[in-house]
Amino acid sequence: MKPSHETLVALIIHEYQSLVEVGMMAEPDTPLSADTSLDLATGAISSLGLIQFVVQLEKALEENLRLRIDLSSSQVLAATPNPFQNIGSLASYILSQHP
Amino acid sequence: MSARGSLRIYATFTADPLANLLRREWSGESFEFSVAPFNGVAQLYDAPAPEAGEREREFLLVWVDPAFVVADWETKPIEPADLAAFRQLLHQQSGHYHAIFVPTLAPLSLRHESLLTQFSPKSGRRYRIQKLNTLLAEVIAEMPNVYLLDYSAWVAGDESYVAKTWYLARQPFHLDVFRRAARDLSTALRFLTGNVKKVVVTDLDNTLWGGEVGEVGLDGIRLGAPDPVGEAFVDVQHQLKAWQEAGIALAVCSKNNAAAALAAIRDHPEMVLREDDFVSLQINWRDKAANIQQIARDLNVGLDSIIFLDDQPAERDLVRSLLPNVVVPDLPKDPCDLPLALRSIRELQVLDATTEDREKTRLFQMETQRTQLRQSYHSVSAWKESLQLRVAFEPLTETTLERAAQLLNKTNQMNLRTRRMGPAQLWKFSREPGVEAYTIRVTDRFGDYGLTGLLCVRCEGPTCNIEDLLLSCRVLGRGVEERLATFIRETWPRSALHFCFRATEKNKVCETFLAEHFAVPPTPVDHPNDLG
Repeated sequence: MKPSHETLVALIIHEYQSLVEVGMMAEPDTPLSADTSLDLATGAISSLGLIQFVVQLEKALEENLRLRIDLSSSQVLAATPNPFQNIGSLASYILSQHP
Repeated sequence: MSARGSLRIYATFTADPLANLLRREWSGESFEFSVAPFNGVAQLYDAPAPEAGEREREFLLVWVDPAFVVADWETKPIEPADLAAFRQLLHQQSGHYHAIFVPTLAPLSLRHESLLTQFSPKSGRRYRIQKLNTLLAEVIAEMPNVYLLDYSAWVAGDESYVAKTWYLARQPFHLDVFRRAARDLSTALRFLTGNVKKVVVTDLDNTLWGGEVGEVGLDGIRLGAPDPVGEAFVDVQHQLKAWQEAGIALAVCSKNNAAAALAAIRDHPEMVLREDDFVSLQINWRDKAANIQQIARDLNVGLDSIIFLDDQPAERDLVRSLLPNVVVPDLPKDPCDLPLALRSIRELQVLDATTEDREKTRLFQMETQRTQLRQSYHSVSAWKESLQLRVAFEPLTETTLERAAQLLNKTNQMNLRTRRMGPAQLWKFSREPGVEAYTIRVTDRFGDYGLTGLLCVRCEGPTCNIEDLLLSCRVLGRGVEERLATFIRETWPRSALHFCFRATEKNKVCETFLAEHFAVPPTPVDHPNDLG
């Protein structure tokens, strides 16, 4: 069954938070939500942090929702609109890849 | 405020997650963690030494792929000479840093390994890695401030490797590997920066044996085979015995019927620990916090050097709340899990005994006798007189070097500037022109306290800089400070004395000593005191 947008946002937040807890992501100023930015240009996330996040999220998607997706390919990174704008846009992109 | 210390990480892969985890664990403490640029470990061959003032508290981690040590390790037999360049690198850096950590070698990329021939001396990768690590251990053994850490304790099979982060970012490990590495490094760093535990205070019922001896008597407690729970408690006692042999003093704190408990300790055939193994036995109905404070007073140790073991969560909570400096680990409910839980107490995983450590129990037992004697005298001066104190100042030798370096790194209270140096650094310093280094040995009517102090002085013309001055807390307050002051005055009678005092959170005792004996006023951190 296709997961809801809310379920995906919750899963992404969970993975993000787990990296905050090990110091791989900066502690956010506001509670994590669909609006939390994933844009490297903001400086809140390092490139290594984003890679770690993407790899961890791919694994969580497969294990929890049986969704297989490659989020680190050049196609994803070049997609318009940018899937990594924020947590909500990433959830929307994942859903769009699993109609 | 300057950092208490720092760890610089050099690796042949992306090691930033390790630094992040360490920063998180040490948040709020003035310790810095940094990572050299990716694959910058080769720079260590040419790296300049850290600034002189910094290196005393600087640590280095060198975590490399086997190919960095021996480029063609997979294709040709490994000889000791193959490690010459890496040995040179470590040797050079060991003079610059307080300590260096090197994880054992393991390939960072997964390649085929035959199930049947991986340990074949001809071609087995595992065989070669094992040989490399054996040779590395021999190389490192020559350098007393370089420590080989067991990388295999951080990995759990292929699940510990994440191929995608390796290909994307040259980061080969699951974060759990870094978590375990950070845990071990933190434990080692805390130990090497002076956070040393000295006493384990243990409960009796359901901690050293099963059951309540006051209820079931000597014959009813569970201790020894064939009862599996009894066997677990024997292993618990063996663990405590091993700590004791590595220099930890053992004490008992138990709400119990003293006669029944002592009968079990003295007469139960399966007891590993006997009365003589304990430096203090507080078996009574007082609250345990009060008993632990009594033990600390009797042994002349700080509460922060004590670990308390008790099976009862309520007793653990009481001690945690009343004595927050005492380490109180949680213990499992099932006695069969106790031996492993004890083995996992981080503060005790770093023990490495010197001869003096192995005699700690005897030394602490003498201290208890002294304290009891003190209570029988009406004046402190009469008690000091009765001790028949003898204090010997002897030049530092290679024989006393290890113990002297250990003291330098453990002593916090009576320590002029809390400068930390490994044996190699201390020896090098003591051989510098104008430097005189003395060890201080104390004995009294109860016996030998052992080597309990260090004095390092650098004389240049009419000036003598007292660079290191430290005494173990167990000889304070009984006349040794007065003898030390007299020795300094009589040995350099015509010199202008400069005390390189550096105030810390813990060395108020030293500040008081300087004020009382040399009229040195308190001064800001990192500025030597002058005394004409």
